[in-house]
Amino acid sequence: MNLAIRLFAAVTLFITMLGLGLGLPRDSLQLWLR
Amino acid sequence: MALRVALGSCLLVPLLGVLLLHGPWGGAISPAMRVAMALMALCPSAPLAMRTVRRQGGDHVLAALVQKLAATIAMASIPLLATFFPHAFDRGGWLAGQVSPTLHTGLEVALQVARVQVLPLLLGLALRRRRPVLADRLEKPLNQIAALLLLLTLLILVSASHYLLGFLTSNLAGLLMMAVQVIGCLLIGRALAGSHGALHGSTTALVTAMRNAGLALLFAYQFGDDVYGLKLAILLYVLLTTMISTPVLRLSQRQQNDRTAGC
Repeated sequence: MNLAIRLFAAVTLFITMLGLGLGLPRDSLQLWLR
Repeated sequence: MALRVALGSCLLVPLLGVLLLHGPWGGAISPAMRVAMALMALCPSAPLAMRTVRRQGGDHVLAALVQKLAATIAMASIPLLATFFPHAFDRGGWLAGQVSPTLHTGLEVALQVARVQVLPLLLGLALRRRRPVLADRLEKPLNQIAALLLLLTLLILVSASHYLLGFLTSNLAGLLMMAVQVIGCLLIGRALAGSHGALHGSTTALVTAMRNAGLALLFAYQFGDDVYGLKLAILLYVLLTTMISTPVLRLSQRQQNDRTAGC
């Protein structure tokens, strides 16, 4: 049960961060250190 | 500026946590509230901060840059801080595990952060750069799935917490400490904007105060299963962050608009 919840939390975080990366502007890498 | 704010979020906020947890009130709160405060101080960059900043009219590109940097720095800062401040963050070996050598589990924690934060972020960035059409098509449904999963996680946790009211009433001192930590984070974030405070102060305050509850919960499931009420305490921290930061930032935004109108 605990492993299932951990996996669920990890998948949720992974998808959230993937969505965040997709939503960033294309040239944002160049703005990192502005 | 993004680098300064990310470093502050990864290092200054945990140090604020150390100060509070080692202060005179630190010993008076329950282990669940203590560990929740420590975990939230350790885990920077809430993935939802960018959307919140955009909704509140802040600079969401700056917020995104801070998050990207903070997610990367966290790979090193979380295991390092847990090693250097074991009493505040590690309960004498909690995060590092009771049996494994510190270096080994430090790497394990770093890898965990890399797997669930840095890898998907880089994957998303690479897709956005190389396949912008596909990225456009995926972005909305992925964010909807993420929001649904997050809501489901919250519902599971709340429905499993039959003891919510009792927990709240017996942890008033802990709630007060959490509120102090949230206000401290907002102030640190505001100060990190430096001379750009008038323009970016509310954005930097919000991205510094919003911590990564998903990562904190993951650590809680992995290492803190024996701490009664820990997951609920993490949720309460998130709730307090929203309750405190929303009115503070609205006020700051209104003052900024007044200043702009006055010019």
